[in-house]
Amino acid sequence: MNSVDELKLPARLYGLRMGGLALLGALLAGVCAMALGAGAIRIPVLDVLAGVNSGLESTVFFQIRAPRVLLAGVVGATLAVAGASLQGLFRNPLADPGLIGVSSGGALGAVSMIVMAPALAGAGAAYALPLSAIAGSLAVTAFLYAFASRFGHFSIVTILLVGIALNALANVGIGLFQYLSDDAALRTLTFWMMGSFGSAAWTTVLPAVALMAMAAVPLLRQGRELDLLQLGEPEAFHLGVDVRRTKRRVILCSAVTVGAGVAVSGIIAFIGLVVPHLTRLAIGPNHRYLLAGSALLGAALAMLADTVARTLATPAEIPVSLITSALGAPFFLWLISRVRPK
Amino acid sequence: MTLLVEGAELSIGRARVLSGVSVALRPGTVTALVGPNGAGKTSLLRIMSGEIAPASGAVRVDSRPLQDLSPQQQARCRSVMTQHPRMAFDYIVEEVLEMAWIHGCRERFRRAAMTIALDCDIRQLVGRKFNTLSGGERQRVQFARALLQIWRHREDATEPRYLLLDEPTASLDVAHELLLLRITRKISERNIGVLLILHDLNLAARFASHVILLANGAVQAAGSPEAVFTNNVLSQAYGARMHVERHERLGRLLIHTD
Repeated sequence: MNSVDELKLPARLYGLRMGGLALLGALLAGVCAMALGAGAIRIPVLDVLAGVNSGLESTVFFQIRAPRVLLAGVVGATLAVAGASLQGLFRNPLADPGLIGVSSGGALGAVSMIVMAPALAGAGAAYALPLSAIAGSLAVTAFLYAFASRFGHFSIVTILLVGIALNALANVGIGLFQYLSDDAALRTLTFWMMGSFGSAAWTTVLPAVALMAMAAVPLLRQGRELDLLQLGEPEAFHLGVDVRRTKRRVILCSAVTVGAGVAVSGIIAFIGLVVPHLTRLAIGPNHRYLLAGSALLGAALAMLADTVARTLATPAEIPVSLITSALGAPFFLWLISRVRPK
Repeated sequence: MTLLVEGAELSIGRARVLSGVSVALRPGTVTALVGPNGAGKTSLLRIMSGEIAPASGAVRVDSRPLQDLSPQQQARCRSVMTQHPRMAFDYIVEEVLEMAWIHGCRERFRRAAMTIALDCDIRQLVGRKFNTLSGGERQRVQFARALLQIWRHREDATEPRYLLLDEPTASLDVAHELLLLRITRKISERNIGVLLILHDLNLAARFASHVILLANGAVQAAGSPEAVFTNNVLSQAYGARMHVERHERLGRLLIHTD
């Protein structure tokens, strides 16, 4: 019986992980309160919520601040979940929707819709833009997977190099559309290249948020399958995983969730890379906890970056992707130095 | 009650890997699959595990076509140990073992994992990171994982199960090699059919109840070690002069080259 008692490790691990998740949840709540309050107009959040405060502050809160914070949170969470899922699928900690071209593909899809069918993009923007962005993301993800599969495994170098090529191709497309477009469209296009939550309004936020959430939920439920895939694809099959179905689901859902995010907020760089890694450092690589933890931390980080973006140089705004890139790029370098091919 | 391959043909690219291979793995036996490099041993194991389908021929498990079983159903009645690469992330050995636990109930997992960890001599590894283990230690963990997958709560469970092991002793030291092979023989008594790819013919002769000799993608001989391991058959299959003699004091075959 003594031997059974000695296997206490999993119980302790489990406790640590739940504690870690709780901490991340608390962090998210804190950041959320701060993000709702801070801005060009400082808002006493509790007063507004209690209905004590009305007028300008209340309008700003409900019509501008709240949808924006919600959008930042959901985009951050879904980017992080998509990043963690793709890293699991490719068995590679350097896979990031931005780095491997999924985001650019989405941007290209959205941009082509704006330039080629401005009327459609204007009238049905809430749906047409996300759908074309999703199509772009999906094309890139599927191509990347098919390409990498031909070599039988996903080496770090292969994925990143293919990602560079796909990013370049998408940028060619975007550049071409920029060249073709008029001044008004050009301003909108620049927005996609820099990323911002500034255009958030309930009419555009809600459909996109619904799409993102619908695609993120199946990803959150793939934890065990993604864990088993870390043993290798044949081994995952031996353990009862329908590998093809899992792959299809992860590719489809991450492309949809990233594409819908890109359609409303442009390219937000590095969140999908940095957040899963930080979460792994905090609570370990087990996907059943990692996916949920990444969602919490991703939301918190995106809200924080957005708050900085709109408060650092009030009343002007800094594109949020400048901030995430400024933080993420050095982190990426550090990560490369750690994950040297063995 | 058999894992049966009938007339399997397989080509990879232009190379013909298996031609007309028929083998049977019966529960309660330890069957060694031996043969020179490139004979098609691993390909045959992959066909038996359902990982790849033969170009023609059939695979049946307990008289049902293998492809009629879902991956989950297959996973419940057979487990596989492959020759193993690293994992991308730093999982703890405990978590790697849990990946094989397809039977629900965490409490039972802890008890089963503890029993098997003691049997396989990996108890001191359970809290370590899998990627920091040596090749031999990783192999022992993978073996324990394969055992956990076909674990049954009742010791006397008799439903047929299959354990397919691809060179499970490749990086093990002598003591752990013996330990692993003794375990395979012991668990085969619980109506488990064990298939072992082995290079060491002496170990095959000592631990296997059946031997399948594969060369050039075809079965050269199959049967008891005494029937398969003869000077002529082995010399022809391996292209080297080999001698088989019976060691009376040890009571088993000894195989050596010139």
